[in-house]
Amino acid sequence: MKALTIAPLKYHLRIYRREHLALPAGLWALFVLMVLFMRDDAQRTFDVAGAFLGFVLPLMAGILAASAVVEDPALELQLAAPRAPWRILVERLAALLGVVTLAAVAYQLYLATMGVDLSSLGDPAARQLGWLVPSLALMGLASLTALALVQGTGGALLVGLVWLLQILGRKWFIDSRWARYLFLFMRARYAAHPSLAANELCLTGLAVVLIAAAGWLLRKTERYL
Amino acid sequence: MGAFLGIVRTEYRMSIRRWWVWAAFVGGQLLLAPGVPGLVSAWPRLSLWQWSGVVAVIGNMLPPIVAGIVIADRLVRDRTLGVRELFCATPVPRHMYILGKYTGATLAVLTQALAAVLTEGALFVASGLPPALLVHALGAFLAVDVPALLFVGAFSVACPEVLPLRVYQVLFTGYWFWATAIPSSFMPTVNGTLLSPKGDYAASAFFAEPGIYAVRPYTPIEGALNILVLLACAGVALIALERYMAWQAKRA
Repeated sequence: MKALTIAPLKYHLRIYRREHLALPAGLWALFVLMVLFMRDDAQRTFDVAGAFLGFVLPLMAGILAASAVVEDPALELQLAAPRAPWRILVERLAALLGVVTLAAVAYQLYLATMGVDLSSLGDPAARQLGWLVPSLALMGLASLTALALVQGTGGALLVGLVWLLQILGRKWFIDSRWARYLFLFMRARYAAHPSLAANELCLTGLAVVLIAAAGWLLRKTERYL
Repeated sequence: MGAFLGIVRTEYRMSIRRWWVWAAFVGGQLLLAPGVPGLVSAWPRLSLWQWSGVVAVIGNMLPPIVAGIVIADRLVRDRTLGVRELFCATPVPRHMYILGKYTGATLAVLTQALAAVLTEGALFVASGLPPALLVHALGAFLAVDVPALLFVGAFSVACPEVLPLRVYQVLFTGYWFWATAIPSSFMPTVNGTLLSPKGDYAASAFFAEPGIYAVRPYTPIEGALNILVLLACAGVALIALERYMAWQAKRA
């Protein structure tokens, strides 16, 4: 069996796209300021904090994932290397997920120092699912769509539409017997819902399927040359 | 003029051929279909003119998001493919290049958005309203949707020259939600002000839209002012883009 080669972290940081760092940092700073300005109103502070973790981070992860592979100017070189193409996808998504994780954890530490109570979203471990599960699902959707259309904009478009539709139609999603399992924001908005566990399980499985499908598409390297 | 029309024609043809954009425009409206019968039965006494305002406002919920994301990569694409340098080598003035790209890309999304609005209108007709609604919806489209799409198109052409493309697309999606769905009682927002791109001003002022989406009833003067403000902002964005590109060319 061939040894698993993982490119050194230093190389990844050097080639990492700046907007994948600048955007999370900028949005993080914006929502830090919003919590600071609203700190006298506990309910609004909680709403803003929950919005950043449960809505903004997944949207950002999804749209940035759309350009993780297809818009790499050195994609041909990457695909010409003696490495399985799916590893490129996994490495790129893992790096992006790392940035999102850092933003989420740092924000929660900040909220703790500001005395914002997030216990209604679950215990500290479970509440991480509130941003992690929708982020993974949207990253999978963006990657698959971008690779299928060979256009990052297509992936970004579908993520933006799904995000907005799910927010605007959240009541319909929750009331629907089947759509509730595809609702991305159940923990962010309906943390006490009895279908929460099944919802998160379903979305996680969906994320795995979407990323696996994206990896399979990337094997057809001639599409991206 | 010939160069301008050539740029418009080429950009329009390129943009109109993206089948997945058509799918996003029309498919997005179809996803809103389950709510239509409820709306029709909830407001049984509305005139056709008022219903056209409702159709246009609903048609302004998702299409601008699609338009903003889709138009954002038009100039970026030229830069990435090296076509920008070729344009610079031609005698086509910079402002004509910008205007041509903007006009072609925006005309394409206007065509696709019109299809989305007519799809929405067809859903209302299928729920029991007269087919003449589709004709009225054309007028409502012009007053409610076109100014918003022109506004969105201008910023989507200009901003990715300054910001990275994906950053703009994330911020734009968040902006649209902030500007149209968040009430001003929750946080400061342009929703309910003259800067609102939602189309509720025109729908309320000219089509007496019964308050389904408008924050309050608006007068015709307020409706006209809202349209003028949106068009003025679009003009400012395009002029700023031209000045920015002139400055970049000077530095190069």
